[in-house]
Parts: sequence; C-alpha cells; structure tokens
Amino acid sequence: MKINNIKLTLFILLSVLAGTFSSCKRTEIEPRDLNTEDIIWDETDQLGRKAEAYFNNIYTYLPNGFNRVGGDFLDAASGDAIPSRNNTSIENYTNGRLSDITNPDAYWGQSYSGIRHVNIFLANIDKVPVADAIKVPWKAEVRFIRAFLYFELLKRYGGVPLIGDKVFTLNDNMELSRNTVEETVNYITSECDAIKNDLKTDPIIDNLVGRITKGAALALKCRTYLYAASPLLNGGAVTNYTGAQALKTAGITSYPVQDDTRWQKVIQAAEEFFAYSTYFVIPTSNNPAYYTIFTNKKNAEVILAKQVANNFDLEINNSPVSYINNNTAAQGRTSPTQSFVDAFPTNTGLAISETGSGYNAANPYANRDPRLAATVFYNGLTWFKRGVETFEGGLDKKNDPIAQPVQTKTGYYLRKFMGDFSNSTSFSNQSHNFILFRLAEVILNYAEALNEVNRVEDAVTQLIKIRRRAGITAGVANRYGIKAGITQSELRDLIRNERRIELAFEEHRFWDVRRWKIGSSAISGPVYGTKITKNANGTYSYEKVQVGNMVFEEKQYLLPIPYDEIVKDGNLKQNPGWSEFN
Amino acid sequence: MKKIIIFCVIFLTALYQNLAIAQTQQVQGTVSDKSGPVPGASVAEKGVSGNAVSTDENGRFRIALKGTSNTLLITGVGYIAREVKIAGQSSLKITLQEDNKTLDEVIVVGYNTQQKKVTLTGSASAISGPSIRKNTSASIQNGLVGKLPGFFAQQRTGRPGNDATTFYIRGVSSPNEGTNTPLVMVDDVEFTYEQLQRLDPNEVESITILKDASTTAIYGVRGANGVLLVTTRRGKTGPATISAKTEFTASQFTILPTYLDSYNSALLQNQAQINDNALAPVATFKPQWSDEDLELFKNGQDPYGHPNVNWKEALFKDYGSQYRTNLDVQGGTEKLKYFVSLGYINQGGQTRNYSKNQEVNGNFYHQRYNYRSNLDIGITKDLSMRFDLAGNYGEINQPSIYTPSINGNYNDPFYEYTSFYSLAPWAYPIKNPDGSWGYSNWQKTIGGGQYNAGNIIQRLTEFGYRRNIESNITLNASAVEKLNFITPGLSVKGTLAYTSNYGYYRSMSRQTAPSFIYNQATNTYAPRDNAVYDTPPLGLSYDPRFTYRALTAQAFLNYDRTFKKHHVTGMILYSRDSKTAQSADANFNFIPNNYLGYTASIGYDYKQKYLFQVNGAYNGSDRFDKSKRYGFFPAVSAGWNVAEEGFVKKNLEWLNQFKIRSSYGEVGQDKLPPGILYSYLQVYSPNNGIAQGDFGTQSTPVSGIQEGSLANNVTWERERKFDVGVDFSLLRSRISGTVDYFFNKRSDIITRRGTVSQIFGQDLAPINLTRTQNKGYEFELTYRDKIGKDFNFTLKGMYSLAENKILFQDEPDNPNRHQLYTGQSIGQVLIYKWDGFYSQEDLTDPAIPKPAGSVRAGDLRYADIAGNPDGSPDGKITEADRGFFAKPNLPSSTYSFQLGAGFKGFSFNVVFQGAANFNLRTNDSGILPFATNFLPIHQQSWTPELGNNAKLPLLTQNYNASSPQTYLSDFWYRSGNYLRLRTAEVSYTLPGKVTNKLKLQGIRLYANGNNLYTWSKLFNIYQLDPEATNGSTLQRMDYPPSKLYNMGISVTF
Repeated sequence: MKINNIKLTLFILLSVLAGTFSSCKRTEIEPRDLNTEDIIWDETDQLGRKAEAYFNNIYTYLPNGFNRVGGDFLDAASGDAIPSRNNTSIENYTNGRLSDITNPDAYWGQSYSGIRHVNIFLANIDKVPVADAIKVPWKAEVRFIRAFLYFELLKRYGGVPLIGDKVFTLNDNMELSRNTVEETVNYITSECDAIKNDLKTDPIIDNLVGRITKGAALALKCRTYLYAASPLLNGGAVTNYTGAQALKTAGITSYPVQDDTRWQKVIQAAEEFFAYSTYFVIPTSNNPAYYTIFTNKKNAEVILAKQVANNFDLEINNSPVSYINNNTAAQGRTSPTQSFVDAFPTNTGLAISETGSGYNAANPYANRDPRLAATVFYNGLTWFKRGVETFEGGLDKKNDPIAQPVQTKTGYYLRKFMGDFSNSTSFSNQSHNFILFRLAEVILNYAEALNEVNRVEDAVTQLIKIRRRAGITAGVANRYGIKAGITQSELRDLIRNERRIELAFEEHRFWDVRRWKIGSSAISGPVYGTKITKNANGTYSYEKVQVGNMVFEEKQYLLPIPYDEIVKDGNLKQNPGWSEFN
Repeated sequence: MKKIIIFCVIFLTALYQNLAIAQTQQVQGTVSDKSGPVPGASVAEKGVSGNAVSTDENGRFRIALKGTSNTLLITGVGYIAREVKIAGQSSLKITLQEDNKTLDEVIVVGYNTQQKKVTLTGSASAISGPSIRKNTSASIQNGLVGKLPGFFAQQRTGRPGNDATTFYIRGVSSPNEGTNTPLVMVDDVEFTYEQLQRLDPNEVESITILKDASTTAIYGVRGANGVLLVTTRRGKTGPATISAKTEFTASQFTILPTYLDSYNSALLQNQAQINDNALAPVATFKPQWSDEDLELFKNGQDPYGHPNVNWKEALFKDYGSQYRTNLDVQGGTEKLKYFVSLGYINQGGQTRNYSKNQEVNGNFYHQRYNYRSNLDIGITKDLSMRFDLAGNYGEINQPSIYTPSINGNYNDPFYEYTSFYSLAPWAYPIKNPDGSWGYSNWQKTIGGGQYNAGNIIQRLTEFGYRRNIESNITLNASAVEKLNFITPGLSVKGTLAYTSNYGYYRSMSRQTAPSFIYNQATNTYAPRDNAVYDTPPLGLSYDPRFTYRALTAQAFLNYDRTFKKHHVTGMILYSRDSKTAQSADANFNFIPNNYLGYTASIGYDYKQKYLFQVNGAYNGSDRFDKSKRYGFFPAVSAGWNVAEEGFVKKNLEWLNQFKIRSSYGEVGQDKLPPGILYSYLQVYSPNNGIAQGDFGTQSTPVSGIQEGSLANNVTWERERKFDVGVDFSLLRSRISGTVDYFFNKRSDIITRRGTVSQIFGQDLAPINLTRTQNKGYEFELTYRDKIGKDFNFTLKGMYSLAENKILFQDEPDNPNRHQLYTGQSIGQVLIYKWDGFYSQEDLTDPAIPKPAGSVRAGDLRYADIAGNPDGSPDGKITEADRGFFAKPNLPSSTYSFQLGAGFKGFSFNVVFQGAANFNLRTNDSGILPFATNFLPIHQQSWTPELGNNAKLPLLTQNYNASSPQTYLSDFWYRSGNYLRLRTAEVSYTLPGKVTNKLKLQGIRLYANGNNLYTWSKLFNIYQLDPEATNGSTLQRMDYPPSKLYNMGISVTF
C-alpha cells in the first residue's frame, strides 16, 4: 500500500465531503417571499398597507348577484324567469330535486369564511399604528360586512350559530348549536347601530364609491327588521314536518310567537334612514331613465353596490342569442316568464287585466310600464339597431337545437342591468355593479310596514314615489293608478307586485316569496311563456304556452344546511323537512 | 446528425483497427458439455486482459496467445468456469460442467449493490438490457410491462414524446394523487418520470424494482412506494466492441374509433330530434334532415352541399413511422474501461403530412438524441474512479390548429375528430371546386358559432406548429478506494452527481386563413369570415417551460469479507441531495428541496445457507418542519436456503434451490399531495381566487390579501411492509420460480380533515391521518429446457395481485353506511347502480322508483337501494342511492405469459400481458351522442322494441335522467380487462462463417412489435383502448396508444 495513494484518495474524498458540508450553512431553505402574519400586521407601518389589503379583500365577501348560481340568476328560480339552458343547477330549486346535497348556493361556508376574516382583522388591526381616522371606519366597515353575512344566513336558514369575535383555532370545540332568530336579528341590528356613526357619511367621495357608508348600515337594519316582521320568521316558520314545531318553539326557525308590533321597528328604521339621508333622492319623473340606476357607478338612488371593473359579461351571458359580438355569440341564458311580464301594469298604473288599463292583447307590449322595456327583451325591442326576433323561427328563436342549442324558452330574454346598446354594433365595457341596497327598496320596505300596521294611505304615498319615478302617468287624482279607498289587503298585493317588478332580478323575489310564505302560489305549478307566430301580413299572433312546471314544498321556505355540516356537527339542527337521516 | 454518426463510425472504426495488434501463437479447440458443443462460451487468455474470443455455434474457437501464462480461462453462462493449461498443445478439447444452481446470478439492489440472488433476503425483480430492448417503444418504462412481477402500469396515450406508461409497484397505498409514484434511481441519482422516459434503452444494463421493506428501507423516507433502479452499461475488459443498430418501425393506433357516415349519422340525429319532439310535440316540427337530404348523403351526388367526408382517412395515415439508430463502443483495459453510446430516435405521428410544402413542420413527432459516456478509470491498484456523462436533447412537436377558447381551446386534432359538433361527417367539403378551402354554413352557425374553428385540413396545412424542446444532462462522478490496509474487504466510495433538465416551448403558428362556403346553385363563394381573405404571416411565440436541477452527494463505507464459512457485509452511507425546480406555484419557485440521510446495512450469511440482513436509514426531508424532519426506518430480513442442507442434498437431488425468506420493516413517503407544499407554514395569499374588489367611479383596483389555509406540522407517511417469499429451482434449473406474499399497512397519510364544520371559516391544515392497507401476492414460474442439440425454449408465467383498502379516513359519520369511504378501495367514486331502462309502463307505475325531474321511456333506470332513515329503499332515486358500484381504474391484478425459443441462429419470443379487475369510464367525447360523433353502438340506442337489450339510453339531445353528469352510474363504467400480445420478436443471428467473411463479430436481423393484438370488450363497444385515461365529464379523447411493427439490424464490429 502506497501512502501517496491513500493521501490522494483521502484528499479527494475529503474535498467532496467538505464541499457538501460547507453548503450546510444554508439560507433560504423555505420560501422567503411569503406574506406571513407579522408582515400583514406590521407594527411599524403607519399607513398599514398590508392591513389595508386585508381589509380590501374582505369586501370580496359582499355578495354578487349577476348569473350567480351556476351561471344563472337566482331569480330564475323565483317564478320570474327560468333558465334557458337545460340541466343547470338553478333548476334544483324548482324541480323538486333540491336536497341538503344539491343546494347550489354556497353561502353557508362562504359566509362563515368571510366572518372569520372579519374577526381576524378585528383581532389584529390594533397592532398596526394606523391613525384612528382611518382605522375606525375600517373596523366599522368590516363589522358591517360581518353583519351583512349574518343577514345572508338569516334569510336562508333562520337562526344560525353566532360566533362573535371568535377566531377559531384547531383546538376549539366546533360542535356549535344554532342561535335563535331573535338573537340573530338582534346581533345584526345591534351591530348596525354600533357602527353607524363610525362609517363614512353619504355622499361618499368619487374615488371611494363602493365603500360602506352609514346609509348602508341603516338600510341593512331596515331590511333585517323587515324579514323579522314578515310571516316566515315572525312566528310562521315551517311546521308540517317531524320536529318542526320544536325548532319553532326553540325560536330557531322563527320567533316562537307572532308579534305584529315587529313592523314598528321596520317603520322606525326606515324613518331613521330617511331622516339621515339628504343625499339619497328619488327623481320625481322617469328621468334619468330607470336603467341608468344600474349602469352608473355613482348614483343618488344607490346606497351600496358590489364593485367590479367595467365589463360586458352580463350582456354576453344574457342578451338574445342572435347578437354576435366580435365572433362571440350572446348566450341568452335567462328566460323571463309570462307571469312576470304580465305583472307589469300599463303606463296608467293599472294592471293589464283591469278595465281602462289600455292593454291590447294583440299588441301586448305597447303602452306598458316603461320598466318593462328596461327589464325584458320582448319581440321587436330594438337591440344592435334591429328588432329582437323571438317569434317562432325568428333569429332569436330558431327552434334549431343544433345551430342554437340555447334559446329562450319563454319568448323573452333578460334586458335589465344592461347598458343601452340599441344603437351599437358591439358591446363595450359597462358599469355592472350589483346593487345591494338602493333607495327604492327602503321605500318599499317602509310602504310594506306602514300597510301592515294599517296606515294604508301613508303606504300609498310611498308607493306613488316609486311609480312616479318609474314613469307611470299620474292619472286620476294623481294616484298613479292606485284606486281611491284601497283596502289593506288590496294594497298588500299591489306593494308585493311593485316590489316584484321594481326590484326584479336583484335577488329579492326569491326571498320575498319565502318571507311572505306565498311559495305554494307564486313558485309552484305550470310556468308559461308566449309563442309568437309571425303572420303573412307582418303582424304577430300571441299564444300563452306552458313551458315548464315548478315544484314547491313547504320545507323550501328555509334552505337546507349542507348535509356534511349536519353530520360533522352533532349540535347543529337541520331545518325541518330536509333532514332525511337524523 | 447523420454526418455526426458517420464521422463517429469512421473514427471508432479507426480506433478499433489500431487496437487490433498483430497475432502470434495460435491455439484452437472446441468447447463442449455432456450433450454437445457449447456455442458462445468465452475463451480468454489469462493475464492478458482484452485477449478473448467466443466459441462459434459448433463450439470451436481460435485464439492467438500474447502473454506468458499459457492458461486459458473458459466461461459460459450456466457453466462452472474453468482454467485450462495449454502446455504446448495447439488443439484442445475442453469439457465444461453445467452449473445447475445458478448460484452466481447477481441482482442489482439498493445503491447499485450487486448482490448474489441466492443470498438476497428481500423482494426484488430485475430485467436485463437485452430484454428491455425487445420493446421498441420510445419510452423505456413501456418495455417493462408484463416482465416484472409487482409492476402495474397503464399506457394512457400514444402521443409522440408523451407515451410513457404511468406505473406503480405493488399497486397504490395512498388516496392522494401523485404521491404513489415509485422512487426512480438511475445509477444512484434520483430521476423524475420525465427524465426516465427520455432514457435510451440501449444504454441500460438492468432494471430492478425493489418491493419490500428489506430492499427499500435504505431509501428511508422516500422508499415506501417502491424503487425502480436503472443501471447503465459499463465498459468491460477486452478489445473495443462496436455495435450499431438501426430500426424502422411502423406505428398504428391500437384503436381509433371509426364513425358512421353522413347518411347513418343523419338518421340518428333525426331520430334524436323526433324523440325529443315527442316530449312536447310541436305541430310544425321537422327533423334536421329531410328525406331529400338523406338521399343526397347516401348517393353522394352533392359533395359540396351534402358532404360525406371520411375524416379518419382524411386526417390520419394508415401507419406512422419511427426510426431509431444506436451506436455504442464498449471495451477497455484494467486501467480504463469505457462504454460510449449515441442514440437517435424519431417517433413520427399519424396525422397526414399536410404541412409538407409549408416549410414549417406541423406534424406530430418526437425526436431525441441520446448520448452517454461511462468511464471507469483504475488509478492505482486500490483506487478507481468512474466518470459518467449522459444526457439527451429532444423535441416534441404538434400541429397548432387553434380552436376558439369558448370551445375549450383544446388545440388538438384528436378532440376535433371525436367531437360531433366540431367534425360531423358532413361538416364541410375539404376543398371547393375552385381549389379553395371548403367550409359550410352548418359549421359556421352550429352551437351558436362556438364550433366555428375553420377547415381542419387547412389548419393542419397552414397553421404551423407548437414545439417543446428539452435538454437533459447528468454528470456522475465517483471514486472507490479499497482500504485493505485497515482490514481486507473494507472500501470507501464517494459520489457526486448533477442532473439538469431544461425545456422551453416555441410555436410558429397562425390563427386565421381564408376558407369559403360554396353555393352550387349560384356558383358563388362566400368567405367563412367576412373579414378574412388574406393569410397572415406565421407568428412566433417562446416560453421557458421547465427547469429542474438536482445535486447529489454520497459517501459510502463498504465492507465485504468472507471468513471461511462466514460471509459478512456492511455498508454505511451518508447522502444528501438538493432538488430545485420551477413550480407552477410562484411562491415556491426554485426553492431547493433538500434531502439528507444516513443509511446502514449489515448482512451475514453462513455458507450461503442461513441469511440475515438488517437495514436502516435515518433521514429526512426539509419539506417538513424542523421538529418533524427526520425519521428512522429499520428493516430486518432473514432467509434459509433449505436446499443447501445436507439432508436435502442427499434425499432431494432434483431440488437445486429452495429458499424461504421474509422481511419486515418500516419505510416512509415524503411526497406531499398537490397544493400542500411547506404545510407547516401559513401563507397569506394575495387574490385568493375571489374576484378582487375595486373602489371609486374609475374602478381603481385595490390589492387584496387573505389568510390562507392553516398550517400544520405534518410529516412523512409511514408504511410497514411485510413480505414472505420462496425462491426455488428444480430439475437442474429447468423449473424455477418465485412466490411472494406481501401485506403493507400505511398510516399517517397526509390528508385534509373531512369532519370540521365550515363554520370554522378556513381550509384546514393537512394532517397525518388516513390509514390504508395493501396486500397481495406475486408469482413467477419459469420452465426452460433444450430439445436436442439446437432447440432451446423458455416458458414463463407471472401473476401479480395488489388489493388495497382504506382502513380509516376522516369522514363525517354518514348514516348511509354504504357511502362511507372507509373500507373501500382507493379511487372509488359514488355512483348510481344501473338497472335497465325505463319502459313506457314503468313511467306510470308508482312502484318503480324514479329520480326527480323529467324521466322518459328509454332513460337509464337506477336501483333504489336506500333513502329511508333505517337504510331501506324509499321508493325514490336520491343521492342516498349512490354507492360504490364501479371498480377503480387501476387494475388490481396483472398477469403475463412469455414464450421464448431458440434454434441455431433463430430466436423467437412473445409476451402476452393482461390486466383485470378494473373499470374505465369513458369520456363524454368518447360515447355520449352529440358529444362524440356517431358510433355503430348508437344505432342500438333504446327503442321500445329493443327494451333492455339496448346498448345505450334513448337518443336525445337533452339528457336528464340518463346524463352521466347529473346521474353518473355504473352504466358508464365498463370493464377494462384486457389481454395483449405485448411484444413479439423473431430474430436471426447470421452464422459465424458468414460474419467472419465480412470481418464482423456478429450480425443479427430481427423483427418485433409492441401491442400487436388486444382482446378487450372495450374495443368492440366503445372502440376505446382499455388503458386510456379514465374519463370525466370535461376530459376529451386523447391520442390513442400505438401498436408498433419494427424491423431492425444489429451489427457488432
């Protein structure tokens, strides 16, 4: 054995090993570009830039409503419309297939996810040395979002677990029980009261449009009281199922006892809103046009809207199918129903069935409430410089399942929220902020509550504001088609109809028919459309045809809590009728 | 490239000439055994390395002596080596003794250790280079199917450059996707699957799969999925042997659906519309195609208005071609041994070459250059080094055919071929009478214009290509120093290896070109797109696609010594590696993934009779938190060579070998499921997938950030492996075989909890929770014999079974017990059970359960199995009626038969391979009418007359109760069982006389093939390959796997 060789070998081996070991002093062995907790809640940042990003992100939990459920409007399950496409998830609400597994609405998990982020923000924001002038409104705004998310849960499920400011960790007991409706309502409204004076006031400056203001908190409070006073939650609940009565008595699916004085709270809340709002005004005529409420970012009728960048997705998704924008055909996904179209009065304010309304069945779209043309595409309405053709075989209803796999099922397409493209040849970006609160709703809430406490004429005054703005003619005694001496019951129907057409496709009707408990009449049975035949002389014949059928069961007044949630949490009670197994 | 090869041939030939030194004393003779002459035996002069010849087919040899030892060393496979003194004779008769026990057979096990098979106590199977090369597929792992017990593989596609099988060793144990893949080690360096499939089979000496704890425990935290070891060829002492090989291969789809022609498709389309109209009759209803249309489709008199195009013929060639050539030089002296290899493969696609005259290549193809230089350098008597440089450079090309994004932007001719709306038989005429590209109003307007993509032949011709370019390099250097001065048998070894894979993407393509709709009545041409009359220039795009680098360092201390009857081995290894890769998740881009470990192994055997082995690894991965990084993975094993016992030798002479062995140990698995990287860190992620807010009348975007899923300190998964096996051979090794039984339990599988309420508000951290078991057995039986002098044959059968079960999964306590995943095998889905078709009478019968929504006669009928609180049927079809009614897609058993025979220079070998116990769900684009083009099976769709004999539900354009999307049932899952003629080869080695005249060492001519014939029910029903990707609603048909017909010549200089 030559020593030299050994030396050589050892030298080589040691060099190799030394080389490897020298890299032991490693840096960057795990991602260093991550945003960690101490970066978000930076204790030295007076501007709180990462905290602000966290704050901004909480806004993404505000609901959006355009084509929200599997590509369809929620209102396509409210009797106002049906989906044009087959086998879409929205059909689950109307075909009897809804279950605690097939509910296409993700708001159970979504809401609690948002609530967690609010709680994280509240728990940490005081570490960041941001000036109170900034921090105080931030906290108030996220608390508004939390209250709003609880409201979203309330209207779907009744009372839900209230978790306060808790940020759960892996060691927490998650076997939570539901709070009562009363506790849920009180939590939401007390939060609104607690934050209202910390919020920014209206009108908000242009570059902050979309942020939550005091007006929104007052409107949320009013809406929450409205739902609390309405038949479903106000001692109504769902009763025809095993265990339903116990849930009601426990106050989980509704207040245990009906109490009509709850309407007073709606009135108080509405009046508090009107007393506050000098900015929110409703025009006294149909000018500017009704549709501009939905196409302007800033608008004195809008209290809060979900902000998105301008786009034309809505137009592509819902315009009549023959309109092609740069090689992309519109998809016409939403088919408003005949009963919805018939709900619009004529421009006299009288229902089309009433004598003297001026309705002509041979020319059904003439002389109608101007909101009809702003809400629904009917045959002949101008779009892209030509008339919509929903007559049989027309461009928008070819009845050719190969060339046009999707077309209207009812003879109508949805027009609401779209920009005015009647004289364009292509779509251009357009403001599409989904409105969460607007003045007309508060007025209608107010009118409804006034009528319920039998202040009928006070309610009529409110309703007239809406009708005047809509462009209905003043008519006899300036009553805008509302007959003199109207009874409480008649006015109730009229207010409900007004709410249906004024707030259509804004995700109100679906919940309204539930809180009024009118599901078995409003969203059950045959669905009709119109079949339009073009005659040889160029005129059209209209025929009412059945295009579908809706199934409604009493249990649908409250939505099912997701199946998995019930199985995971033994203390969480399912709403009546849904629980197939426990 | 050709020039380079020619240059190399000349250069290496010259080298060979120089090495051939003038000969001196000649000795000749014959080598024989009891039954006759032994061909192919090696005759070498002792003491003169490199001076060796082999015997010809008559056992004769001639050798020129150069040294002074006057001794010849004769060796032959299956014979005991012999030394013969020449003692002045010039003609020798040498008789060799058969070595019946094949005791010297070795197998490569962990860390490239060569171990005698007879003393191996673990479970491993190996295959050698020549056998791997009988498979002509471009991807090396395709050659292993059916040849290794315990190897489960499925070839999903035949797309050139992407046709490698996905494989598992002894099935799968984890429900997580992507964490069941075995560790791949090539010459001790970890390779990715992408790198493995680019390896040239010609460079491979052997492939071993390690299956049990005893063999995998030394890989510790990475060994639980089994290990695939590849050893490359190295130089051998002797004169340079130059081998050249050239192969031409014709490839053909195993199966590509043949669709119905226009007339028959139109009939079916009409029928679907008639069926749909019956639901709500419209007085004015007319089906799509009138009788006149049908007649024109049938008689073909209106080829422009009513085309009937055979798209299969228009798009695809009968055969694609593949060309492969290899050149290698092997040889060396004691001081320097070398193996140098070059390889080239060009794997062509099967679309017709429409882009031929376009000066851009728009065909499918994969071409690859492989190179390897493995050098062994003896520096001193005790110090040797090896230095390997290998790699490859390749291109994968596909046509760019640009499909609009609204239609999924598949950009794949196979998708379009299968899609009814994209390419009905009447879609459009390929060319117009004036020679312009044809189009049709049908195609322009169909589906609201979403299938208006242009003429596909035109797009294949003019739209250019998309290309991936990839370069792999591996450098591997090591040194071994014998430390005999400390104690004999001790040595130390150091290895340093670097591997890099870099790829980029380049495309030269266009997106529009003019085509015209011809109107025969007016003889006018209307453009497809009003704005397009011109063909724009091709556009270039480039994108760096893939980067992967790994650095490995290992230091070994080895000990191997025999003290009379005691044989002791030992190994201590320190190893570390660091992998850096581009990641789709920008946060983790290029963060090294480090692995560090110590491995030790001690083996002992007494006279090769009683065998013991203890292995262990202490190692860890930095993908886990510091506190949970390291683990200890021990294994013990023992074996008993019963046949070595005296009483056996005495009484059971026919029993040559009988070894019982068993092993038990624990191995780890450190791969994290997708989306869980650095799970111990909580990440606050920007933008979080939810639409970002913005404020102000100008919609000023604001940035958002949010808490990400919770962190948890997870660690590796652990698997306890038990294996017991028997190796035997009898009747002088005519019959030999192996039987193995294994039982593995995996615990701590990284899982996301399924039982915490959403009220928690956040995605939960993964935890080590799920438990599974996997058990099964393998056997392999070989019978080889000789008939007469020249005819020898081998029969071999193999069977492998691996059945897994989820022992525990965190899932809600579902009252529908039949829907619990716990207790099911991995990969199950909840589906309905198909139970015939609804008849007209069923619809009105309230006793027949139905799903909600509209149900009509001819819809699939499902079994009502549950729904009531007590678990009894509730008379309705609801989610509760779903259960586990289909088998997973991965076969639980696989089997093969091999038959090999040789007669003089001829040899013959076939391998049949099959798999059973698995289901394949076809894609919508594979079977659903109007998603796929019409297949003959659609003509047997439900009618009242066919009733339950129908093959498919009622033809409709609007599936409800039958829809695989809303009511997925076992109807859509078909048995994937198949039997394949996997490989077959016939070869002829030219007799020595001829070869000698040509001054060559050998010439071999051969013809072989892959996937030559398949028996599968799926072929007949769906015209689908049984190994195709398991379908989901959104997936599309892929490029089918190929059959290969190959002819080659191999020459040794």
